[in-house]
Amino acid sequence: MLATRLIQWLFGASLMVSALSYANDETWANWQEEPISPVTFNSHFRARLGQWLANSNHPSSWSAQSAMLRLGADYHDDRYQLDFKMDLNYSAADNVLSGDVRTLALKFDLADLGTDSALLNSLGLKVGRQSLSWGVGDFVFINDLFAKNWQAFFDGSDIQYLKQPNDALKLSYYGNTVGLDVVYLPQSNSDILIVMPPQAIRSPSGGTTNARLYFSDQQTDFALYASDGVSSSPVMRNGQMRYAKRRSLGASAVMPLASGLLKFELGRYWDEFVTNHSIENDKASQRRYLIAYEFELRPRLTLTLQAYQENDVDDFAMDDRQLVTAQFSYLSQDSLWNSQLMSFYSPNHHDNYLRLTSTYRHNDHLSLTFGANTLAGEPQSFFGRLSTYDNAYLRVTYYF
Amino acid sequence: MKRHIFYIVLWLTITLLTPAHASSKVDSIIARTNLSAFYQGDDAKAQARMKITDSQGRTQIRQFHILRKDIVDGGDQQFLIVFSKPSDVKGMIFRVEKHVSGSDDRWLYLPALDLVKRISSSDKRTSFVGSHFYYEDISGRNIGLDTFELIKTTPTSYIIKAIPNDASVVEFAHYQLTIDKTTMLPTLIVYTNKRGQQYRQIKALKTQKIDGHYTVTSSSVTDLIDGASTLMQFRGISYDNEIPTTVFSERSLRSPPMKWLR
Repeated sequence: MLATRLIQWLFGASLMVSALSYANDETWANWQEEPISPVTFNSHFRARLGQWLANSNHPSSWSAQSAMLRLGADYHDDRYQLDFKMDLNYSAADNVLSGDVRTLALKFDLADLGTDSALLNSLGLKVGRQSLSWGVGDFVFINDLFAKNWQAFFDGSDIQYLKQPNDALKLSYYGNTVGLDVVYLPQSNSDILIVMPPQAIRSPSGGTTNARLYFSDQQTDFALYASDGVSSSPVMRNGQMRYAKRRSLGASAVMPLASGLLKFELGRYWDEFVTNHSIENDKASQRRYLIAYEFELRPRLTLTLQAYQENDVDDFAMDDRQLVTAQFSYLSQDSLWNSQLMSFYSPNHHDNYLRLTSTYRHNDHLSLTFGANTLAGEPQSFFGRLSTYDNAYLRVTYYF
Repeated sequence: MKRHIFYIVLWLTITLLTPAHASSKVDSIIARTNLSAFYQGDDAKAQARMKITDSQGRTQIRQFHILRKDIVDGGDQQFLIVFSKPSDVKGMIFRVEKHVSGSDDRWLYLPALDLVKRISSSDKRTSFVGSHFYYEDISGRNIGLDTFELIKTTPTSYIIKAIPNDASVVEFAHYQLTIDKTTMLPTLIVYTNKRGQQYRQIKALKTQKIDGHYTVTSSSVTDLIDGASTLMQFRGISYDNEIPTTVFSERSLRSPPMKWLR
């Protein structure tokens, strides 16, 4: 009860501080040159209240009751950039305060060193904890094998929390026509699943290397992908939840078509489950395909359609998953309301997911987000198993 | 007889050539204005800020660096826009390959996800980052999309009316430009909607000569119906910096080119 009051108080305080901030309007009469500080701070406070919508045995009727303070700073120098982001989280549901370093990374653009070496001038290096993303799908991942936080995806967190921070080394080559990113994670990162398996067998352990080669031609962006490491989610094999040793190859393309964008992505995984040194390893393979088209239905109203297919070489109970998604994105004329309604539907697994997010940007400091998630389907299907997780939430963010 | 033929030929020449001559004059003014307003130098860099005021007087700001490189004068261009304020857009980077004869190619870098996203861009007359300026006001409207008519010439200005060739794809019926004869820059643009009502105006508030080019360093756009407006100011403008074309690439989205952002 105390915690709920605290969050309500923080909501109110955010609104009040936001109103007062109008008093500090900058002088617009004359904009003088001023030295640019190498250090900038960027922080925000966020509170989130969510309610379960489905009848279930959740310990509380609240799906989210949390407050978070993001502290961010970055330092820009001629030779490097240091980026730091840390969250202090308070969960009222279990009365726990915790800290989480989201980003602590040092980035070097070797061209800034001013050497004559053409190779060095074409390289960039980023070391430390960082967010990593690539691929062309909207919430459908084929070659983006970086770890996800699926709890955050469904619980009303900001979308940036879908991506888990990675302790990684990223080497980038920027050629005149071709670019290459090679990312090495000394310790493979795992997804946070909505229902975490109690004892997933994490073997083999070790690092993961991901690479992306990309280039553009005739207004089309192409990319080729490869990875060698450990899968980020476990699967059921021979009665046990196991992580696989995974190798993958893939490709993507994005091109303008009519008034929209046409996107393709495909990938193939080769998985190996280490069972016992004396027995041949258990192997599996999967292909994934995505085709998508994004276009403006009306000014500021965009529709994105995606069709996705998995082909499993092995027979699983729920294999060869198909998924179609439709996402409507609407931005109001004054750009203050930004809303997305996205539906996921599997024609062969008979499950679906509806995701609504609507953000109102009250001013440069304060934004309010309302959202809802509803999941349904056959009991063994992916979304069907999560049907008790239907929720609606309100999120308020105050930037300072 | 010869004299008659001479007069007939002269009359025909004047009759046939006058409209073409008038048309080429206005097109020449528009072509020069297009170059003066959007293609000064081979490249440019500047800092910009905008104060967005809604109809209820509430304000927002945007602050960004903008880099521009011309591929062809009067033709395709490259843009890189790096946001520094406010907090929720800080670090976002926007890259545009402007194509005069088709849709632009646009990419957006989202720092929180370290994601480069290609975005569709069929409509150039939508708000530029929440302001009352449109994308087209910032990067220039293709002059081939309108037909121009010289209404009046004053000692200091040309007054030109522009009518869209395809009225179904724009929200205006026509607009009127006032072009300063000295700078060849538009000082006032007033848009009239399809009900005959003047509803939008862009005004140059301050013009300076920088690196030999007349440049609008402060301008405003006003919604004449509800009073909402956006004030835009520039500083740190420089031209012909020899910005390499490689700056307008994915590298700059993932690693802002600090050298060009000072």
